[in-house]
Amino acid sequence: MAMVIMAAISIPTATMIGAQIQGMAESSDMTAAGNAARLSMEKLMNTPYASITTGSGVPGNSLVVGLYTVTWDVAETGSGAVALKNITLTSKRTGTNAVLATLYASVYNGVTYTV
Amino acid sequence: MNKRGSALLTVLIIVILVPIIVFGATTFISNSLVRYTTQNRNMQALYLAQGGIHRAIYYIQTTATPVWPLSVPVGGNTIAVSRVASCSNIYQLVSTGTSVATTYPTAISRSVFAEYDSTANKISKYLEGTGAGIPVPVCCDDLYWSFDNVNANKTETTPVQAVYQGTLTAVSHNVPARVNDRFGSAQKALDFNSGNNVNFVGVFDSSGLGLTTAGTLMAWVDIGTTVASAAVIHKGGTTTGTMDYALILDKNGNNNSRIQLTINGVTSYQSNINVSKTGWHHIAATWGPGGMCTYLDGGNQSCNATQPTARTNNQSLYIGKAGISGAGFIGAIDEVHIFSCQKTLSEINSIYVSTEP
Repeated sequence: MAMVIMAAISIPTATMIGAQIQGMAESSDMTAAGNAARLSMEKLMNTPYASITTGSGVPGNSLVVGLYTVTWDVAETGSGAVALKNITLTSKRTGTNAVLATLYASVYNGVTYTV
Repeated sequence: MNKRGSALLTVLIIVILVPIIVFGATTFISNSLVRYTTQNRNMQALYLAQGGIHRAIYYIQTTATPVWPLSVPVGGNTIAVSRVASCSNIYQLVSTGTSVATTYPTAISRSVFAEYDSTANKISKYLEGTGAGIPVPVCCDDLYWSFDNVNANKTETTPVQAVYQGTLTAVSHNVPARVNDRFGSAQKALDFNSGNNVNFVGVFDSSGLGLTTAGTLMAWVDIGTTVASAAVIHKGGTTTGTMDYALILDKNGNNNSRIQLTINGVTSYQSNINVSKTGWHHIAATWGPGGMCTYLDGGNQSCNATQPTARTNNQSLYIGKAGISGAGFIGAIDEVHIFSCQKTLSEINSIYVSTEP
């Protein structure tokens, strides 16, 4: 009888523990992927306008690339001085297809900050 | 306690404690997932908001008359940019990025405030939030008719805004003739009311012409020898009850022209300096906290202490047309500016120096 009860409890418990472990892994994945995305986006935002082009990795920090792959697509609207680049950046665990973090940003050509 | 009792107790403990532990751990993990997802979406919303400012800048630079708010869907999320306040080239904008998730359906929004100078392509104020408490910009909009680009009896303003486009109008005979400007450049100035012509440039009323507590009117003029009391710039009707403001050259008893500013048809200030009848001269008049002032050729400042408030109505603006009294302006006019603030002596001098022959 005790064995039956133990089995009835253990099987769903083991499943839940498995889900917990997966959840913990996803949590840390999301955090790390989000940080990699933010790092990449900040570097892109501080890149001269003409040099903002579609790419992947983490600009200037290849160490993170091993774990997470950050990819950004750049689409330009307008031309010359009156132009806007829209950036879509995604972060995934390297070797997987699931997107863990997506960021969208835009940069207008030549705008300066005097704040 | 016998063996059976111990086993039963153990089972009971397992039955009670294990679900509690598992439930607690699951809740913790679930909350962690929500928290980390929320962090990422918060970040996403902030970048959306920042991007919204740049999208709005592009919109400003490519649209003659921007309409607000500006809404942009981005990858299932949204950006909404509203204009808090603006002058002709200064925009205070609030951009709100909203991250819309499917897993955790609560939308997360972040806002960014920016003050943008479209002429200098410069952001001078930039902070997260809606910018509450930041004062609206002190506007000094400049409506400018250069008369350089006369096409099909129209004269454009700078910046180009269709509502301020002037129409060359003939009351009799011909519209204002295109003549040499002060540099000798052909067809870069307008000649009014010469010979049998009675004419003017008319601009329909629009919000930028509604000056009240402060303003600056200026133009280059070549009055020639036919001196008359005439309005160079006149906003409003031809009665004291409908007239708003005017820059007038008033013919005095000695047949000389003097610069006069008239507000609401009744409050006037006139300098005691004669405008030469030879060549081009820069005339200006201002009102505001510094009183009512007139200027000739970037200097010769003359002021009183009166601070009038001009009325606003839907009457048109006229260049070279008769005002409340007197005839239409006779001579050539060029480089007409109407500023929505009271320019100082040094500012007027700078404009004069930068535009003198």
